Amino acid sequence: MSAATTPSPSPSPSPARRRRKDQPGPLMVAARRLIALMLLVLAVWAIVNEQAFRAGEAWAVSHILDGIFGVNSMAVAGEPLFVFQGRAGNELGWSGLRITMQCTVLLFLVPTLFVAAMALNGRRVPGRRILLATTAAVGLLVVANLARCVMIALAMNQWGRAGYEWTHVLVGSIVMLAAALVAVLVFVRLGFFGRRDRPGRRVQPA
Amino acid sequence: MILGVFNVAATLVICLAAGYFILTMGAGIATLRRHDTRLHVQGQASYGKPHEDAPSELYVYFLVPCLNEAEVIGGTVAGLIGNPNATVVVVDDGSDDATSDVALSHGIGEVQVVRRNLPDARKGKGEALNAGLARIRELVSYREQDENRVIVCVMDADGRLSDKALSYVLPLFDEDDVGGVQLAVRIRNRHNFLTRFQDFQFWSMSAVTQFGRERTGTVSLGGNGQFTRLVALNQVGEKPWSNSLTEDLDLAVTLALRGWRLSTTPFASVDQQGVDKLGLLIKQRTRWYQGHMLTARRLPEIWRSRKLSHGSALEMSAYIMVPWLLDLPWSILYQFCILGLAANHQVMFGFADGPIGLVSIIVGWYALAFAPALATGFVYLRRDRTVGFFRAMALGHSFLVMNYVSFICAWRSLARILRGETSWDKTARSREQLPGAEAAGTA
Repeated sequence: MSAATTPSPSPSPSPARRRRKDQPGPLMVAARRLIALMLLVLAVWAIVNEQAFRAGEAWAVSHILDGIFGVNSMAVAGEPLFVFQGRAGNELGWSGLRITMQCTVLLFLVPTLFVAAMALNGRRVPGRRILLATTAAVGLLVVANLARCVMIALAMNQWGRAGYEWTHVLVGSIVMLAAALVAVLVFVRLGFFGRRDRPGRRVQPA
Repeated sequence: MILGVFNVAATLVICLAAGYFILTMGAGIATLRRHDTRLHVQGQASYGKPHEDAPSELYVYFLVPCLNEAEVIGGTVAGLIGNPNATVVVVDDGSDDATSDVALSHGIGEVQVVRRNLPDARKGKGEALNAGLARIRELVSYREQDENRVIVCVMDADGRLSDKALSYVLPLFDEDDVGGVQLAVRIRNRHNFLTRFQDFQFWSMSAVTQFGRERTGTVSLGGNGQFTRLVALNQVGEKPWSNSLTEDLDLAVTLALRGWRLSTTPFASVDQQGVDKLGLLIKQRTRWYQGHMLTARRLPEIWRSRKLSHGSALEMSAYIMVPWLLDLPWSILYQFCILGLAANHQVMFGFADGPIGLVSIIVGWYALAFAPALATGFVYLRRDRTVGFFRAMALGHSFLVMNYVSFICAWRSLARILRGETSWDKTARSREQLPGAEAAGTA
């Protein structure tokens, strides 16, 4: 270290830049709070209407089975239940799966929305980053759970009861655990580690 | 519904813990690679000669707070003297034993002893450190040293720096915004399970995650092997160490909030005694938990700070919130998971249609449940090549039992917080004979 250098902590942004970038105006603060409130309301609404939410998941799974995998499938209106045909033409080979509260992605989404609302209310991180991170995490969780349900149905068609047990109990647990972990990492990466946060000011090796 | 909530809560806690673990461990390994080294660095380090090849541009003041440390202070002082640019300041915080005399006899002419007498003594480690810092400021002024070139190193009374430690630590302060450096901790007396487990925690998990935290500049300061700039301490105030039970963590937060970067190096470490009795370990850890948990009061400051990047604020918050978000909830959810396993074993294992299926299911569940044990055991195996495979894996898996030590400590801390209890006795040391102490004692 040069003797002429005076050590000093990292400088904070200049006042003008700070006002512009870090201190949202009252309108922006109000908008962030409104969005945070909307996210909380959305979370509460989803819990109150959990049956409708689960019915929506069942509808989505049946459409994926039918549209992508060519498995005859349909959802029972208003019920978190979908049925699918084991083999085309086999009218007796229909099976059904109910999306229970333990199977729905809803309980993963609620804490995600809650954390997003807190982050928006905190005003520290730009709102667009929080919304992007939330959208990505929610999307990932929803897709993973739909994929899990589809996988269970396809395994049932292929291997019967054993296929169901394997994919529902063991593989499904691994899939959802991995998805939730990736969702946390994606949320943190997109929400909090932008270009300015990359370790560019690190200490050189000794 | 309740079962679903428990399931999701357990999954969330596991994911938060795993996410934080993966991020910090991954960043730690990446940091090691950036330094062109690997996990085994310092695994065979020797301790007691920190001044070899030390650069001469900086003055180092070792600050050693003591309370009844006559058993160990001699060896510590002997290991810190021997550099014309270094001064050892021992703070005797009202000891009943011969701490001051032993310290002076092992470092004649190179040791300053600050004696504090009751009723002013024994008011906590922070107060003792502040008293020692006042003496350092006097010495710096008297010697007309440039305070920009002064580094203060806090050492435990049983701490020893690794050989050539200063040659790796001091250049880190070439970066003007580095305010503090914390070294990885090794447990010296790792001769039984309890002390070996502490070494496993410090050397395997804590050290590597601390390397990772270098990337966000939020390396946590500990009470041993803690280097800080004098100007950074002066900026905090006359008494930079608070009366928190974890005054080191509190100082780390304070420095980070002021824009100082906190760093570490994989090429130096500090060793210390591990606690060799379970009761003492629980007492020590309860104190740490309590201080750590109370640091959560500083979260609003962290989130308001414009000197911390978003990533740094998040990392520091996550670290501070570990007891609240992970340890306390997991202490309940862990039991739920074990009960669930017992109650649902038929569902979880019963669908095996043969021996191969059963083995596959067991391997699957095992990999899922014991992934942290395998990962940390593997890291410890790489960190210390003298540890055999089975011992490293056994230590990794010992979390099944040792989790309960953490649970007990976390809940005891919470109870103490709720009761408003903040007083603590320091952890007692064991008698030991170090090579440095022998040499100095006969000199």
